[in-house]
Amino acid sequence: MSTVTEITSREAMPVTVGGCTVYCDSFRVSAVRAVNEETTVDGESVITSSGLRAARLVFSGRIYDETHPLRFLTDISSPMSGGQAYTITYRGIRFTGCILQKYELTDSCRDWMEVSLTLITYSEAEVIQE
Amino acid sequence: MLKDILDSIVSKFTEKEVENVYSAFDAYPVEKKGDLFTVVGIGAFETAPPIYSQFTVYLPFKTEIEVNTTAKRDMSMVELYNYYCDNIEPVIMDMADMNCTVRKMAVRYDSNIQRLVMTVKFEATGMSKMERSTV
Repeated sequence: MSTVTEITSREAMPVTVGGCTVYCDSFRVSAVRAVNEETTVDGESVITSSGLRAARLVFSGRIYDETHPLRFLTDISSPMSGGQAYTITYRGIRFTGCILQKYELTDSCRDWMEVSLTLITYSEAEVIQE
Repeated sequence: MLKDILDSIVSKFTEKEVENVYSAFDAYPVEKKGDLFTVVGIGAFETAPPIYSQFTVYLPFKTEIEVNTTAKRDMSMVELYNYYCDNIEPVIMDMADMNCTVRKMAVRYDSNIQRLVMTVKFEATGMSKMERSTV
């Protein structure tokens, strides 16, 4: 048996949506298939139809900007109002056809602001070939 | 980083013309610090995960600043409190905001030097900025 112990290192990675870049501390992705379940005459259950819903990508990060702390809001307004599809790359994975569905900014009286971006896409994640 | 924090606190005292204020880094012997002197030190220090941006990495920190005022040899508690109210408190209250608050104040008798010492601890937060070497 061999054991390797090492100190790990990780930096926040940038995610760009239109003209807005957020350095992400955390990332969450979820996908779900919606199913229609009915009861048969024997009292059993059966799935009559199902459909894949858009995957939801949530990128969260913190922003500290000395000069314009709320510049994020002006940067994000165009991708939010336009509803365009963007290609997002994050840690070696590419998501295409991403629509910005939601953003959130919280200033809770600390030295930084917490922001999160929620994007939805029907496309499958692709590995970026190096 | 610690030295910068202490220097900025000491300079706030000197701006208000409070005499004999030293940083914990000034290793003067007690006899040379004056009859009544104040030493600004750091009691605790912690950092949060860094915040990244394109050109800069910001390191948030939280620190507990300790202001120790050592009384003259025959100074009474009343005189020491008066000195605190007239000299130390205005400077600390000037700094007080949502990020900087007084946590504790205590007076004790230092038997080694046989003098009263008043300690005020206040918590402050700040940000240390580092330019990124590679983008």
